[in-house]
This record gives sequence, C-alpha cells and structure tokens, in this order.
Amino acid sequence: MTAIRFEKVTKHFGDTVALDDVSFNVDPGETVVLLGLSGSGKSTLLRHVDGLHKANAGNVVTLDTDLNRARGTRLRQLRRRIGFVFQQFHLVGSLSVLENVCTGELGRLRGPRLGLMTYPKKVRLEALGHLERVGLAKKAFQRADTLSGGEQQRVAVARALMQRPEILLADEPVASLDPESSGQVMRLIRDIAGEQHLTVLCSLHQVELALSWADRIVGLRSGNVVLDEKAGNVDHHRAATEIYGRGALAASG
Amino acid sequence: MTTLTRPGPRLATLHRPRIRSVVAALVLLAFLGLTVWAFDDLQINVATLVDSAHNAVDFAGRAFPLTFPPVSEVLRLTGETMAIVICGTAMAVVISVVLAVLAAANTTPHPIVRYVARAVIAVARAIPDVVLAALFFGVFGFGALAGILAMGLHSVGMVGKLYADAIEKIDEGPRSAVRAGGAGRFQELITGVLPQVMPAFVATALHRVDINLRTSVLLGFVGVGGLGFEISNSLQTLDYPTGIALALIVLVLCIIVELMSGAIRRAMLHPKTTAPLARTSGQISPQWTFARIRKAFYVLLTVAIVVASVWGAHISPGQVAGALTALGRILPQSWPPSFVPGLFSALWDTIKIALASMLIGIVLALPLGALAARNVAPRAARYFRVLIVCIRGIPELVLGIVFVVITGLGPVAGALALGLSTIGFMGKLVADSLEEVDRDVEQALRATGAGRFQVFVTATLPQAAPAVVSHTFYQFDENFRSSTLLGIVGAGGIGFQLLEASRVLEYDVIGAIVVLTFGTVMVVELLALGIRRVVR
Repeated sequence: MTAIRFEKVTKHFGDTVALDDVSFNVDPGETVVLLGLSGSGKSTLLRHVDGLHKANAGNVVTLDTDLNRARGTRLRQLRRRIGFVFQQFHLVGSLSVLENVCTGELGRLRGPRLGLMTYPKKVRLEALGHLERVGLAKKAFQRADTLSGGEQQRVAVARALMQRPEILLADEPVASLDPESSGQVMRLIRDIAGEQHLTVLCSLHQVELALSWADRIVGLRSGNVVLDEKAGNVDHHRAATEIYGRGALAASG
Repeated sequence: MTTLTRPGPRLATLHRPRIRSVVAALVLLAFLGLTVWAFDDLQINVATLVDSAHNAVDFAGRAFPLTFPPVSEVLRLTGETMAIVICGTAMAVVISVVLAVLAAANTTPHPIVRYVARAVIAVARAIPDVVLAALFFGVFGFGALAGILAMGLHSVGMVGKLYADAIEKIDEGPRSAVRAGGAGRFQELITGVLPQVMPAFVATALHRVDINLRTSVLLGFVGVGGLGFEISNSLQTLDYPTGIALALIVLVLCIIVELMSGAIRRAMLHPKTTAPLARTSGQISPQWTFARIRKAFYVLLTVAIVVASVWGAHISPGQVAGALTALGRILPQSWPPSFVPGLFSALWDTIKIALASMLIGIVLALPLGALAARNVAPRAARYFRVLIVCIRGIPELVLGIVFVVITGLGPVAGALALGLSTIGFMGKLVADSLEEVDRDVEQALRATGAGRFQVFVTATLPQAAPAVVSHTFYQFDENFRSSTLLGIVGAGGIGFQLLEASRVLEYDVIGAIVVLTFGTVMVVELLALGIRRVVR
C-alpha cells in the first residue's frame, strides 16, 4: 500500500504547463522532499494531493481515495486526514492563536464557528495540548498576527496536528523564515512526524537542507521529475545540476 | 557620429493622440460644456444672489426667534428617526452580506450567479430611495415601514458593492488553509473570510448609518415619520420658527451620530495594542481584559440598538406580510409607465441642477482639496481638513431648505444647496487622491530645483488626475440622485413631479420616474466606465 500515488499527472494553467507526466509514489511513514526552483511545479503538485488542484490528465490517489472522483463530503473527509503547512503560514491574523489551532478541527465539527468560545471545551483543551507541543501555549490568547514568522509557522503546525493527520504536506515551510526559526520549524516537523509515524511530503529549494532532512528526494524541473532517489545516494553536485541546471554549478564554483 | 542640433522637420516632438483618448477628451469637454451651459441656463449668478438677499432678511425675520418643541417631543421624534435609520441599515446589511458573497468573484457559486447579484446591486443603487419611498408610501400608508424598506433596498446598492469588493480583496491564504483542513463551504466563509472582511463590513455599515440619517429626514417629506415629517409639516403651514428649529436639531443629530460612529469604528477596528496576553498554565479561556469587555459591550450594544429599533418602529411580521401583498397589488399599476407631459423637462431640470452643482462644487473643491492635502500645503492642510469636515456635516436637507427660502422655490436653490454639499464630499476626495500620489516623483522634481507650484502641476496633479476624474463621475451620480431628493423640498425637477404623483397615487407616473432615473444613472455609469478605461 502507498500513501500517495501520482500516475502520469499533467496540469496546465492556460498555456503554461505546470506538471508534465509526473509519476512517483510515497510510502506510509516516509519523508519525501520535493526539490526544485520556484515555478518548477512543487506547490502545484502538493495541492493535487488533497484536491486543492485537479489534474488535467493522470491520476492522484491519496490514502486510497482517487482525487479525480472525490468531491463534496468525500473530499472533505480525505482533507481531514491530511495536514497542510503553507509557506506564508495562512493563519487568520485577527483571530487568537488558540482559535487558529481549533480551526483544524472544523472538518469534524458540524456547522460554522464564530469565536473561540463556540468550540467545545474538549477541542480547546486538545488545541492547547498541541500548542504546548510546539512550545507556544503561553501565547494562546494573543492575536495570531502579533507573532513572529517562526512562531506563526509553529502555530500552523499545531493547526495541522489538530486534524490528527496521517499525511503532512508542507509547501516551502521555511522559505519566509530566518535561519534560526527555519531550523526550529524543520526539527519540529521531523520530530512530530517521527513520533506520530506521519507520511511527509515537503517542498524545499535548498539542496543541503533537503539532503540532511529527507528519506528520499524527488527533483522537479519545469514540471518534470528529474531525480528520484534515497537521500543517502544523492550526490550534492549532481542533484544541483539536475534540478537547477548547469548555471548552478558554475555559480556555486 | 552625427550631431543632433535641432530636430529635423520629420522628427515629431508631439506624439500622435490615440483615437480612444480623443473620444474620451471630447466626451469630457462636452460634459464640461454642458455643465457651464446648465449653470448659465439656471441663471445662477451674483445678481440673482443679490436679488435674493432681501428674501433672506425677510425670512430671518419670520423664522426667528426659533420655537423648539418640548424636549419629550424632540426625543420622541429623534427616536423615531433613528429607529427607521437603524432598521433600514440593518436590513441593507443583512441583504448585502448574502448578495456580496454571491457577487464576489472568489466566493460566488457560479459566474452567472455573480452577474445576476452584481446587477441586482447596481439596480438598487440606481433607484433613489426617495423614489422607492414614494412608491411604497401609498402601499403601506404613513409610518415607518415604507421608509425602512426604501432605505434598506437602496442602501444595498452601496453596501453590497463595498462588501463584495472587500471579499474580493481578502488574502486567500487563510481560506485555503481552512479548506485544506476539510472544512465545508459555510465553515470556510465564517472562519476564512469573515474575520478578514469584518473591519470593512463594520466601517461601511456605520458610514451608511450617517448617510441614511440624512436621507431619512428627506424621506419625511414623502410621508415617512420622524423629524423630517415634522419639518415638512411645519414648512407647509409656514411655521418657520419650528421648522428651522427642527432642522437645527437634525444638524446636531447628524454631528453627534457622525462622532459616535467614528468613535465606534476606531475602537472596533484599531484596538490599542495592549500588552500581550500571557496565558498561565491551566487556563483554558482568555481572561476578561478591559479591551475584551469593551468589545463585547459594543457587540451587545449594537444588538440591543437594532432590537430596540425594530421594536420602536412598530414592525410586526404580519405588517410586513401585509405590505408585501399590497406591493404585489400596486406594482402592476405602475406598469406600463406613463410618461406624462412635463416629465422629460422635469428630468432635464434635475440633470441641470446636478450639473450646475457639480460646477460649483468642483471649482471650489479643487483648490480647497489641494490646500487640505498634506503634501501640497504642509502647514495649512490641517485647518482646511477641518473646514471640509464641517461642510460635510451639514445635511443637504438643511441646505436645501435654507436656499429654497432665500432664493425662492426652483432649481437655483437646489443647485446652490447641492453645490455646497458637493464641496464637502469632493474636497475630501480631492485631498485624499492628492495625498495618495507617489511622493518619490515629487521629490525627484524638487531635486531638480522646481518650485512648489511646478511640482504640484507636473508631479502631483497628473498622478492624482485619474482618481479625481473618476470621483467626479461618481459624484455626478450622487448629485443626480440628491437633486431628485431636493426636488421634494421645492427645488424643482423630477423630485417635485414625484412628490405630486405620490400625493395623488399615480403609480404609473411613479413607474415612469423610476424608469427615467434608472436610465439616467445607468447612462452616467457607462460613460464613467468608458472614461475610466482611458484616463488611467
């Protein structure tokens, strides 16, 4: 059984081809990093996993659900099992940190929620637990937009945990962060993935970080898979050439 | 290498204009010419004003000393007016939220739904509330309901549009995060969209309360209860001391409400940054800080005011249902519309009033607005801003009454009253547009040694021009509707015909007036749209 299966996935936006015949699998519990330049199709591919984008051709099968067919309730049920961490955090800035974490539970709750007190106490307690885990329980009642970038991303991780996910997707989770916060967030995601046996599919653009972090590397270039190997077998220079083109080698000396 | 001493005969130093810009320029020139002609045709000039001076003195003699009604009566009337305003605005907000979700590109279920919703909003905007009120008034009789419905439906035109714009401007990120978590459509709207648009929603609603308070008084003239109704009665019985006293109360009420809504807006939208709320272990809900208590208080207060207004306006579900069936009976009577003789010339008068008032307004608003912009007149700006706010504060109705009395019944009074209120609105828009220009360009020019006036003409004005032009067309729209309103207090034009028709229950004439005003507003909007495409 595989957690995520891409079969000849093709996606274009107008005349721009974002994904061109992409195929590979991600096994349960595996940590896979998508490497590539911006515009190489990483984010687009990630968004296919939980149906935020639909493929023009080919199949995406996530947790035995065919994304071409899933819609409505079935799609939402699938999304509940998949946590998503975005580059720009995507917290609701005017809501409190705790409420933002609670929104991870919306998929399981009936009806809309307006205000922290409308979430059941049990949910709030669980959310506090996740905030504790990411080290931000003290700031639970602050407005989310008063936090630093690194803190906001940790809140986003807690929100993903609130879904009790089986898969964690992360789209350039540290691209907007300073080196220290980056390290914190990446360690946090790896530790949590280990503790909870999560399948992780994460896009990055730094080769070095990816090699030290992932089980496996998948390289994308202009929508094509140009590299798919165990992290241990990947040669740094070769990876850079494949993914970033010849210019990268010349530039890095 | 050749040395270029002067351009040869074939080297053009001016670029050939594009046809689109020529057409736009011609339309603008025609508009300007029409405006000047309207101004002249209405015979608004110093001589007319001097002639009227003795009227003013005469009037003052009859109006003063003012007689104020007893306090309890004033409070009752104020309460009635406010109840109508709040109910109307609340109704508009409820309808607008639904329509805006359907009309915003990013939340609409289907593009066709979007166009329908946008069209409904545009239609609501194009039919002046006073026309609606005149139509409803015969249906529901005297009382609050006609006014509330008219105001509520017409306000959707502005509130719905601004709400939809606010929804289209949100950051899609939080929303897609909520969706990625498996939330449903409604949950997505409440959690991902609503918190982001809340400030804009609140600000727009409060702004609309200000506007509706002003129109509610005018609606009194077609039979909607409250302060306006009493003013209308007093003036008709030539009881000027009471009429003017009540108008003065309206002025004070407008200022109080404007100050209050400003304070609420600031408190709700720009909360003072308080010390971060640290959470102590074991605590599972936020502590009741002063800021939180205050916010909850405002929310409860708003709910209480709306409930009290609905109760105070004596509206019952049965009454609303009865009104709706009556409306179903009346609407067929307004179709086919009957374009009685005189209607078109009345429409033409109304357009002339709007045009002339634009000329007065803009000629005075441009310098005033420039002086109120911080980057144009750094030292004087503050004082001119205050002046503009003061002019804006005076309701058109009060201006209308004063000018009708001074210059006599007729279009001149309407044009002067509207012109003065236009100065307030346009002045602010001009000042804002000027302040929003790119300061670096000004600085670059200043660095070349250009004088202050040169900088203004070369750097500031061209950058602000597109915004000013589009505001001008918007303002003409507004003035056209307002001049319809002012016809009702005796400024002539189609408003006067409307008043007559509503008194004798000629629904087919009212229907014709609806068609005419709607058509005019649509033509102006299309013109404005075309011009905006070119002047960018």
